Amino acid sequence: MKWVTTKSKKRLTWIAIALVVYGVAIFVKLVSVQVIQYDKLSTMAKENWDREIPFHAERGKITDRNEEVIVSNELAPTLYFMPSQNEDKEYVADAISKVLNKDRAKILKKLEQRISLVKIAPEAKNISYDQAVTIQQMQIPGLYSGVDYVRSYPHGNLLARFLGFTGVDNQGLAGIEYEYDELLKSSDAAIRLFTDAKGNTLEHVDDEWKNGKDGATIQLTIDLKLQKIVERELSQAMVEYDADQALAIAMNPNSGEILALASFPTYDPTKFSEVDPSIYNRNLPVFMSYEPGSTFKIITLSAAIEEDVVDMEHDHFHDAGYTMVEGARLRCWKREGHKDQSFYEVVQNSCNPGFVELGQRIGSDKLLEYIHRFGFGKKTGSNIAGESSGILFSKEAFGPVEHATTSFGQGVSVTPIQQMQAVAAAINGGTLYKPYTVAKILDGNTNEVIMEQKPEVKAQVVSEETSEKVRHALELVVAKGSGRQAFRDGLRIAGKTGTAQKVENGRYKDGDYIVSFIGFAPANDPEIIVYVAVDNPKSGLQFGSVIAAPIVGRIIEDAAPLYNIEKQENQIERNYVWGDELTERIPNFVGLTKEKVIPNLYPYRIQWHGEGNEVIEQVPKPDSQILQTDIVHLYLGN
Amino acid sequence: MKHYFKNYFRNFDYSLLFVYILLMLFGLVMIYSSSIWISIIQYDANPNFYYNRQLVNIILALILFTVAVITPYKRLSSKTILGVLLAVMFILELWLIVAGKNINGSKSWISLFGLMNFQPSEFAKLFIIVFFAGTFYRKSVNRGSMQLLTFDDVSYPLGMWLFIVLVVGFETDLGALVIIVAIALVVVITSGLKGKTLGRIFGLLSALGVVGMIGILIFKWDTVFNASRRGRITSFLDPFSDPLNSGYHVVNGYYAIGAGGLEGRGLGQSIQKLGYVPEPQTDFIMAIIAEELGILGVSIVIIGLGYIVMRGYYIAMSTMDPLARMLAAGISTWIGLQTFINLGGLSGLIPLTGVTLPFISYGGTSILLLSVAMGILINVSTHHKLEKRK
Repeated sequence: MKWVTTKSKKRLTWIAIALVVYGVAIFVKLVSVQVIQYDKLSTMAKENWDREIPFHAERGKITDRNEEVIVSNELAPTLYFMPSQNEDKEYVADAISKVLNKDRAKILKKLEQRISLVKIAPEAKNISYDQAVTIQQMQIPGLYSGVDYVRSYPHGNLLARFLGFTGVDNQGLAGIEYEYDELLKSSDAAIRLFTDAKGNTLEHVDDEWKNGKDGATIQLTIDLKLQKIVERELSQAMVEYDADQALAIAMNPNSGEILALASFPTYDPTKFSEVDPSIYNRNLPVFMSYEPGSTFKIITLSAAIEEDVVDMEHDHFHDAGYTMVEGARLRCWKREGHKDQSFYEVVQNSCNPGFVELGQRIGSDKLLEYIHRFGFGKKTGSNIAGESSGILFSKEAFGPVEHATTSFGQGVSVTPIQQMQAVAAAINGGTLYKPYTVAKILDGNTNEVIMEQKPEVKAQVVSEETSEKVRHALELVVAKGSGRQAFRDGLRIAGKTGTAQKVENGRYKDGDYIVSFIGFAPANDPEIIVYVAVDNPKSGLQFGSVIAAPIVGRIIEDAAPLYNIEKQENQIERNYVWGDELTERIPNFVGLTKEKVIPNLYPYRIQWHGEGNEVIEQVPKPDSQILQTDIVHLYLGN
Repeated sequence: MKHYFKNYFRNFDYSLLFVYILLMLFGLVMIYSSSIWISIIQYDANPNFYYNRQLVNIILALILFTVAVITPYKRLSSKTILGVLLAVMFILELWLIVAGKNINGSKSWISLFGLMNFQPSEFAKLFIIVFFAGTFYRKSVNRGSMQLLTFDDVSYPLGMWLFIVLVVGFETDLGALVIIVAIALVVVITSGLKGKTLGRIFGLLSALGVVGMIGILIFKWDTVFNASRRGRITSFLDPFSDPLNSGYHVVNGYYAIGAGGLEGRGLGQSIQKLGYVPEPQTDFIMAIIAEELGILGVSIVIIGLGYIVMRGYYIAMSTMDPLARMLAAGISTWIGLQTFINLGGLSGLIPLTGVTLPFISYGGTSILLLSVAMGILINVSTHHKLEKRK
């Protein structure tokens, strides 16, 4: 009997041990779930219980350099429905479809889904605030309106091709919106309603507010006031010349900050789906790459002066209307030639053979080196979406003919922004700045500066002395040469015209030109530089001097007060050319008696105001330049 | 008689009684906590619907317990009692076959005159222990020793057992089947049969098992391995692969345990009981206990049940009486195994099978029969103490 018990005992011991081991295993497993997996599981459990009504945070705003809003957001709520909280889906569908005037059947189908939370989209996505209020007032159980936003553009189409636009979920799809999407994007807030399995909210668990974050504000270098001036001028040119396209850039030559950037035709960013993608995908000032024509001569000029191969004032050049390079006849734009001229005149006249001469004096390797040094042939790094790099001759293909044509801006392909970058360097004292459009990035909630772009110097390309001579040459162009239509009295505008035939399939296209003008002011200390190009204007004279120069003149004239560009007296006076309006500089009449004024025969009319023996006030001010057809008002007093 | 009781209660195993009552009351509180939402929202009943019913169950259970605890366990080997039990078992099984009710996918319920839904498989667990132990004991008394029992002597209870196993098997109540098979084997092993007889029994059972499995594979494949069972296997391997369907039970149990953490959310604060955990007052009550009371709740249950089981094994190991040994081992195994199947399924150690947590879960049949078993165990324990004093 004894050993039986022992045997049974032994067998039992094994069973007991197995049970103990298993018991410990279960205990350990349960506690490990409670401890090790606690974070993961409790989060998952909360997600299981909550029904999130999203409160979309605002996408980042885009402002101009003076913090004026260019792009912001407009409240446009979206409706959400918890099917388990309302059995009468028919009624809910009726109410929504009536207020929003949308298809009832489609909405009903959405409401009848067996999920915890229905987003009624697209039918009730981004409804108006008034509609949302109307629906809220109906107090329908289970129907919630979540905060949502759509982009709003207080200035309409302004800057549209640069800014880009956002899609249905507020994601950036083009332009700045696309390029800076990560920063502009907001993280959404939400109310987390904790519910039981049937969707009833839990009384004893507080609703949680999940914090969101507004997207960062992007402050551009763009100046809205200038942008408006530029776009006004371009849109007028588009109409006046029935042009295919037009573009403009305005920049601060001393920092590389882009002040205005325009492409035409433009579009409405809220209706982007209605326009051709080539409109919103191509930001012309950085996308277009074409033969620059004469504006490129500024580079040749700068290189020649810097290399000291020419005395602009005393060296002379005889232009017979063409020049021969390796048996090829390269014509000047003026058939009969400019005859004998100093090199300043070569620039004024935009004389092609004269620039071939300059190019040859520089030498082919040197010229190519300067072109690269001025930043051509590669992207400027402006961080504007869709930039091209242009096309240059390779060293091997740069034969004497290519060398010669490149000297006056043919045979190369460059982008407008590259030209801006290069010319700005040539005239600002020789510093090549990286052009940029984003000045600051600010935290959307605290307005703290996250990033600030400072002017970035890429290289010193020419000396200050060279730059000064270039400025003088270009002021002469406006005062006396091909840029005369950009002349504005006292503003000392300087610049260079450009006219380039477009190339199609390797051949020049007849009668299809891109006319351009690059101008800056004032010539002694440039504050602003503006480039305008009009693609295929349909007017009698397709010249940059006729079409683009006056636009730049008007832009700089209107921009002058914005950038404190004062009128100066010691300018290079404009030459009179037949057909120009006759102008006159008026003297100071103040202090003179009527009797002293009258005997002088002024070419303009004088209108007298008031009584007295002395002139006490005059309009316009002394030393103003006026047309001979204008009237000078003199006010008498004692 | 008076002397017997005086002596009996002087040596009474109060520790087991204390733990048993504690677990039942703890269970009652937790049933109330976990069933309020279900009562109101799901069944549109009054919030203490389950609480009231369990209270009645516990009172009935205590009456049965009292009867069992004062009945000397030796009586269980009497021919009359064994005969009555056998008859009851037969009737219940036949009843089940004829008029079984299908609840939650298992046809394992019968309606006792509309008074309560009764699970014959629960009764079968207790029956097998008592019937095996009693029969073996009677035979051994006839033969003079357990050692002398032959295979023929045990074939009759084994036959009865096979019948029950088949019926329960066809009910497709997998958890109950495992327990019935396991406790029968434990009783046989601990009986003290000689190795040769044991060997023959196991040989026969293995052969029957293989034949049975083949039979199941051929004829009953779809029923036994139905979609919901297959789902339980896949959800056991990776519950989060399909958290909304096959993994739903396990995942929501996990959420409850995980969300509670070490400290728990506090009594009554469970969120998972609000319709997320299915039947939170029965099979998944441990999940709600863990969610509300954290490690404290888990410890109460595991230590309490562990104490009962270990105490039972201690008695079985130290007693000289084979009947006492078989009863104690069988009952302990039953409680232990059922606890571990329940908690193992919940914690993901084994696939889920629908068995209740002893003494804690809501359920009339379970608490009534477990209370009888507790009565027997305490009775055995007390007699063991008495014997030691002699």
